[in-house]
Amino acid sequence: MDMLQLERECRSYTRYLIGEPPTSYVIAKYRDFHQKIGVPEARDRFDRFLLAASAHGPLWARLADSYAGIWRKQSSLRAKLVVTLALLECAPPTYEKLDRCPSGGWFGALLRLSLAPAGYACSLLAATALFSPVHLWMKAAGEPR
Amino acid sequence: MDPIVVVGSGASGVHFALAALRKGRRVTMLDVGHTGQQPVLPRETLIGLKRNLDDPALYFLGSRYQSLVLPGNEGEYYAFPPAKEHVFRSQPGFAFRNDGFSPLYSFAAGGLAEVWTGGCYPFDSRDLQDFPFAYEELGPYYGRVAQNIGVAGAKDDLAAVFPYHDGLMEPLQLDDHSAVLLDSYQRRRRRLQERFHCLMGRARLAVLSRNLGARKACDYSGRCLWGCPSQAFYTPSITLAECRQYSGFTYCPGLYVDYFRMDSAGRIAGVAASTRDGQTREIAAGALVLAAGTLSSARIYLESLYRDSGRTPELRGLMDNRQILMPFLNLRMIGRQWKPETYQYHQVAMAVRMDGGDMIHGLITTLKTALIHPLVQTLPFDLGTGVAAFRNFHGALGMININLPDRRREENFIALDTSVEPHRLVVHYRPPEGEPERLRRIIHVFRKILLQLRCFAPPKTIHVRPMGASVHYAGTRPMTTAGGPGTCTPHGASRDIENLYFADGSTFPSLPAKNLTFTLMANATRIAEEAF
Repeated sequence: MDMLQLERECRSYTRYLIGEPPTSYVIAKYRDFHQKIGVPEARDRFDRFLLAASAHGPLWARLADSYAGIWRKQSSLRAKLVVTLALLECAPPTYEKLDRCPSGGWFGALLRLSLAPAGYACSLLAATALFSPVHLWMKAAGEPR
Repeated sequence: MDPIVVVGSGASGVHFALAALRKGRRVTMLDVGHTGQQPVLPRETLIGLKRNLDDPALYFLGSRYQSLVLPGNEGEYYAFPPAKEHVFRSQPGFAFRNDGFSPLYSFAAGGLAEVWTGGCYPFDSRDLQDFPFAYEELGPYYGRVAQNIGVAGAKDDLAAVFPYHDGLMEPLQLDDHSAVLLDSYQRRRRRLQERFHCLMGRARLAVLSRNLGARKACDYSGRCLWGCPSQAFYTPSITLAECRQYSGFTYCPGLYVDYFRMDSAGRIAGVAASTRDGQTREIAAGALVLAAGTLSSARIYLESLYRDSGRTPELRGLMDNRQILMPFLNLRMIGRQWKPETYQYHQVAMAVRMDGGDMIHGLITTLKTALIHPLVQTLPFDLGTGVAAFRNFHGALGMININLPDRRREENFIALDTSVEPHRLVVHYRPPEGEPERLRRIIHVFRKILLQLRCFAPPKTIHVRPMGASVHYAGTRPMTTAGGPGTCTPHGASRDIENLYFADGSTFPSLPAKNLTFTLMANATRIAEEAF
């Protein structure tokens, strides 16, 4: 098990989910989870590609997740993101960020909630443009022997 | 004289035992009795736990991350707390097969009600129509139990379907969301009552709103879902501890009751139980009270009949409340900060009389301190957008747990499969004809009611739980006045075996759309008081 790779993933996913770096506790628990349990193995080459891409930083994590959210709902990437979220919501100080409602009241929330699908649509478009050729190519090429 | 032997320490068993002990009877309680750990940092609030535990993920997710809900494992909206896992720990020698039913079994001290949500809803005269006694006979026992366990509630519109009884404490402090829901109800009360026959009010809860004996009032630590650390929230293990104060009480944990043995006169002479190290121990019984829950009591009964005569009958009439989980968003609560330091189970209840006359019961929980990852991953976005969006409406989230009534039907039964070792309990259940249409109608009505309350229930999130999930099992040895084999007297005495009693849900002749636990306690108390 590549501990450095796990740490890279954890850092990338935490920044993507809450915009902050993970604490050493969250990194340790992320590693512990993979040592004890682990996520379901990557289904194919493209799953592995999504995983590798997502570890490059929060933007890549977002693009890979947008794509996986539609085409690979039960991929290793989605599972790892859920694990990261579960760890963040349990531990200080990150739970505070997840629990806090942003300011602006009802109108502010409504505005943000209206913009969320638009942001998601942009991210999905970019992800589709980026990942679908790779996905199609890998599907056509099949698994390397 | 041999003592009364009670099997099981759940809601029925402990209340039967307590009432019998108070009458000066000797009681021996046989129980597997799995227990959990003592609450960690009992003075801390939920946020305090997150802040101050050395390893909070261990507490909230478990040592093997068993409370993590990964993609593909969705279905329920709550991750089950690791601290309560002992309640469902399995028991060697116990085997079962289910057909159309997904039951939960417990071998814990306190039984399944160790993980209940505290709803105390007395049956009214209409609910008791099929019972061999009237509300006036059961009502005083609700009061007795309420005085003993502590029930908080209010006299409001719901008193029309949940009779007001003695011993009610003042209600708990409302959380903001529940207060907004009740305010919406008050504003549209007339329309809701006239168009939907909908009543709403404060939940009746087995939680202390003031001190009761050594138990302190709820301190709103927000830890309800994770296991109340202060005993303000009632569970049967509290009454078990009270029973243990009596000199006439013998508690025997670590015993898995296999069967009872009958003498030549057809009376129960003793009970055979397996110890933890696999030995068999026989306990003499003056009278045997099965209070292990409908399914486990049926197993003991069937195994005993098989050993005595080789007969393997089917115990017919099994019932359970079908439940629908309906998550919703309260539009008035969007963008509002929520407080974790509040009571966490349902604080608002509703009753809706459907066209067919059935009363449907809804329990409204305002989701606050449950883990959010099971919900966020179901949103139709990437997780990052989902998290950002969720923060805006976390305080607006709620869930109605809708309970449907059930009736005894011959096609639903419990049997024992003796073709394998160990013998297997077989639970067979088929929903009533026309159920899908009935569920659609109920969902439609509840969504309309929510709209009146300025709430929105996204259709794809509504979840019809499998039969067995509500854990309100009943009906296999009904109490009747008329008599007949396979029935009990109005005092729970078996009409087939002289000194055998049933004190659990087995004796219910019908199952209204209400949590039955409070009635189990009241009925078990009544049986002990009047039959012993």
